[in-house]
Amino acid sequence: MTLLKMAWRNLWRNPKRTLITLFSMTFGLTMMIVGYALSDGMLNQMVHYATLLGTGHVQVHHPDYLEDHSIYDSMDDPAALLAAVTSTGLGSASPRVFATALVSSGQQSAGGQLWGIDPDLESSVTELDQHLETGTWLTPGAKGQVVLGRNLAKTLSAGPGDEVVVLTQAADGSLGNALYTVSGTLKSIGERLDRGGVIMHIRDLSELLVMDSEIHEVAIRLNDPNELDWATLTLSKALDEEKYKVENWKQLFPELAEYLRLSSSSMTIVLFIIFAVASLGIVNTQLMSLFERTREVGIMRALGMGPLSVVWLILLETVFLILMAAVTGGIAGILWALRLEHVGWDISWMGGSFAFVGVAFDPHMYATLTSVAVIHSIVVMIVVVLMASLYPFIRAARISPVDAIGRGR
Amino acid sequence: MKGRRAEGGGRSSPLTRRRGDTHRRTVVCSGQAETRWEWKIITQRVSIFIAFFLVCFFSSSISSAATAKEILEKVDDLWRGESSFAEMTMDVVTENYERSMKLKAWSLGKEHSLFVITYPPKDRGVATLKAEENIWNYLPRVNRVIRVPTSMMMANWMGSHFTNDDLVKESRMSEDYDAEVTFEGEKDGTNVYEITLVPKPEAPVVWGRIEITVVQETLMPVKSLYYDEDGGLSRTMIFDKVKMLGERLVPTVMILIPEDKPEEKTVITYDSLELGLGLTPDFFSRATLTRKDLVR
Amino acid sequence: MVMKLAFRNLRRNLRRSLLTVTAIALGTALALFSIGLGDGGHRQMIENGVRIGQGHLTVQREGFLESPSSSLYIRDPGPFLDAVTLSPYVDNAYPRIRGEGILATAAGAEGVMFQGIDPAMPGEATIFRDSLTEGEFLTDFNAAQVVLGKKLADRLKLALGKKVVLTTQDAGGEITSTLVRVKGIFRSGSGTIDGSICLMPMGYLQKALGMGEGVTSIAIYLHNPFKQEEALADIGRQLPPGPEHLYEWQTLQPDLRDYVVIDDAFGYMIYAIVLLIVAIGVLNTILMSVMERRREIGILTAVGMENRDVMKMILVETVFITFMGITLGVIIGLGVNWYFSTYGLDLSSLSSQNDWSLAGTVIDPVLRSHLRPHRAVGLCLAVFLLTVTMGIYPAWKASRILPVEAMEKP
Repeated sequence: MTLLKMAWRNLWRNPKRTLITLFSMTFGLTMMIVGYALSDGMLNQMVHYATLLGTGHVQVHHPDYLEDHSIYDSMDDPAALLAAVTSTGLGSASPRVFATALVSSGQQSAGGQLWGIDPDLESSVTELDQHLETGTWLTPGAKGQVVLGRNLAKTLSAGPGDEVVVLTQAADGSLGNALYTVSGTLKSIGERLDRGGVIMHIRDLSELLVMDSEIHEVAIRLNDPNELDWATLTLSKALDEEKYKVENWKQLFPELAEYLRLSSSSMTIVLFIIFAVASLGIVNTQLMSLFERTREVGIMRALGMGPLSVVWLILLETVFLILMAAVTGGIAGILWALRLEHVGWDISWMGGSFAFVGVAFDPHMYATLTSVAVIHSIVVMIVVVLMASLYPFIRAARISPVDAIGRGR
Repeated sequence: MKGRRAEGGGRSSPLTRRRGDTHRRTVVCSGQAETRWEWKIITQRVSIFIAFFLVCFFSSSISSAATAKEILEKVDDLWRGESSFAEMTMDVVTENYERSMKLKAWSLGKEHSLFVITYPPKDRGVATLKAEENIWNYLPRVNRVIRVPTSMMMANWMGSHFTNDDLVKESRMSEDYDAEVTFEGEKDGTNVYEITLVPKPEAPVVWGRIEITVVQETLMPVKSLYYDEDGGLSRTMIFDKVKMLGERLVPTVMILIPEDKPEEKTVITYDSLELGLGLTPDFFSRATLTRKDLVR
Repeated sequence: MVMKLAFRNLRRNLRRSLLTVTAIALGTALALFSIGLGDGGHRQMIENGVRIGQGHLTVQREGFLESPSSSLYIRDPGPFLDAVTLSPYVDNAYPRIRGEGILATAAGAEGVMFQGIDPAMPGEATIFRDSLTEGEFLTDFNAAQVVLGKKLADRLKLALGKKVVLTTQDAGGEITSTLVRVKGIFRSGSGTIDGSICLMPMGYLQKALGMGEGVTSIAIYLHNPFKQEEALADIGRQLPPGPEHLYEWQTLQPDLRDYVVIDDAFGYMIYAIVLLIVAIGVLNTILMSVMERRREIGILTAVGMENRDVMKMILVETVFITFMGITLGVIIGLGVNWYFSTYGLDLSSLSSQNDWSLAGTVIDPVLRSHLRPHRAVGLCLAVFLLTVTMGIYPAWKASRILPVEAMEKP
């Protein structure tokens, strides 16, 4: 008890030194948490672009649909299916119908991919509606509207207000054809949508294809994208495996998943470097502060304190420091990371790659703060500080009083 | 024909003579001229819609022809100028849908043809024009004429088992295949010739060979079998119900069966046929395609 | 006098000096390593993507991007190739014919992206050469051959030597069909590539599509992808006038672009964070060392040293220590970078799952650091300036220490 009190009092006997050490630890911890959150955020942002501009996190199809995208490999009773998906509480779901088609406007024509969506449900899954270059998104309830992909719109020289003819093979074998009005065009999102995307009301497309209410896909946005594997499993258990195939974006787009895995690995290294640099600052300050106290330790020994008590005393001081730093650094790191999570970090000033016209990219970096990040950072800080203190502790215990006082001068 | 530049010279000759099978050929007819004749007959028979009429036409006139040479000349003449009009029914059965349509069809030689759907009401007026190597579709609902692009060439035509490409390719058969008689004799109680068409080495066709069976006596087609490159049967076309139509004896039913889906088929039945209408190539224009009186 | 004192001080308290030097050195080295690794990863991300795509820069006709039709071709690629290869930034330039078409066999038809290449050009289409699993690569500029992906071959039930019909639009806009035979089959591991791309000899396609000597695009690969802007300007100046346009890969590959943009931004942030941490660490160290020397400095002022000189002395110490630290740091940093640029860092070995299907062909899992001199110099300058600036405050504080105050405390 006296040792505790003594340690605490000792700390504040030289407040400047303590504050500097504390600041060093706090700052290091803050940067670790922020760095951690930013690298998580970057991966999430990549996943975000991979998923929320078209695919969603998880998709449900007829087991054969992805094999040759035949319009006949569809799923009946979408209402029940959507209800089954949303009742798991994992996220929101949007039904889709697809078909390939010939799209033409004036003398120009091009191959296109028709996306029949429900504008209300779709906006709860993807963010396509927020990435328009011109015009407006589909109006819920309206008929005969389409939104075109960027390059397709250019090929057809079509913009908002123009009419396009869509020609496709309907489910009954007839030549489905209809006239639609362009309500908007998308920004550059990805090759597939850019070159051929024709987004329209699901009812319009079903009518064109002479289909009842069958759908080809349910796209799901998870509330927690980090629980991807678990959510995929839960969903496939919730649905009849004979009739539905549930796959997440990593299974659907293995290239992308691999790409991100690569990024994630290099991120680990970058994070390691940030931690190392931050630790370095802490170690240095801690070492210096302990070394500079040789004289002080000598005096304590001269006053009759045993070597073990001295070590205990210094250890307790360090523990106090760590605790304080964990609180201050933790709070600072969490606050900063949360700010970066919500407001983001505007990177448009960097120019370069961000200057491209029509890019769907939002020029903000967003952090993603997880409890794992905070815990890892604090644990690393504690381990680093204790390791850094090890050598000075041993020295302090071995020091001979006379020597220490003498050398201090 | 622009696309054919790639194959270069030598392709302009419609016929490549094969050695060692002369005796077979002479059974049908004799000499080089006859060979040409035989060849054309065959390719016309495997052609899907339009050439079909011609086959029927000279099949019926063969009895009155004195020599093979004369027939050949006659055929060549007809070949250049023959125009026809037919009304037909197309029934399509697939695993996903069944569909029945009534069509009107005009044709001039093998190069030009025009189809208009008259039934069901939903598709009434949808028309297809084939002129040379291009196909246009007219869609009355949106009042547009659209040229079928490359990407849709392999798509099926009006939901049937024929592709748009089949329509184009049939007018090119003479350039793409070499023919020889590979069997003659009795099969199923009828004396038939079996003629095998083998694609020329550089011909852009997917088939490995096509076998056509014709009745010796009438030269009426019985069936064509389409094989892939490994010798596996890919699709079968059956000609049936030989009847007098348009003052000629013709098989009025054609059935196409894809081998990988034996339960599926496309059946074309001729309801009426008129020949020698004197249509000119300018009838087969995009302007005609949009004419409202076509369906009447 | 001040200089002498400063150096003597440093030598007298060797342990403290060394500690500070080490801190700066390790900080600099780690920062250099992180920059090298970041740039290396960034470059690799682009390289991986661009290798499958159409080069860092691509010359093609306007409008070809929106709808790749064979009628939009470069009639005479010669002057373009000459202009491009003259540029000092260009490593390789490949004329190519690209287009969309349909491959058909008796078993079915599939939409494809076809690519006409010159098989004799070294370095061309290496991805496909490397991932060839059956048969051989294209052999002849004019032969009717095709090399296609395993998935595509399976769907069309194709095997080596079998024929397949390509239907597409020729240069005149007419639909044309042409027959090719399967020469080889590749399996890159990427479903999209294996299911949609086929390669044919350029000369054959030129004839089949009626392009004469023309091509649709010229793919330009740069020595240094970081010099893309300079290369764009340089090549842009030299291109003959016409409807042809020079495109950047960012325009042609929007999917890749988004990831690279994020990666780029992240790289900058890491740079900023690392720099900040190093600077703060150094500030702490110097502050601490000045504080611990109050007594010492007090004595110096007591014996008549002027405030200005005390400040100068501390600054000289800081500059010297920083300089030593950075020098040492650069040596370590360059060494580490050299190691990782030569031997690389196999990221797939870091991952717990070992199913890198694309590794080695489409995506190279070995991360190689790439340190650009200007960034290294920039970093060193930044560390130096930051540290010295940080040193001003402690130095100023030290100069204000009163002799009496310093002596009072033990």
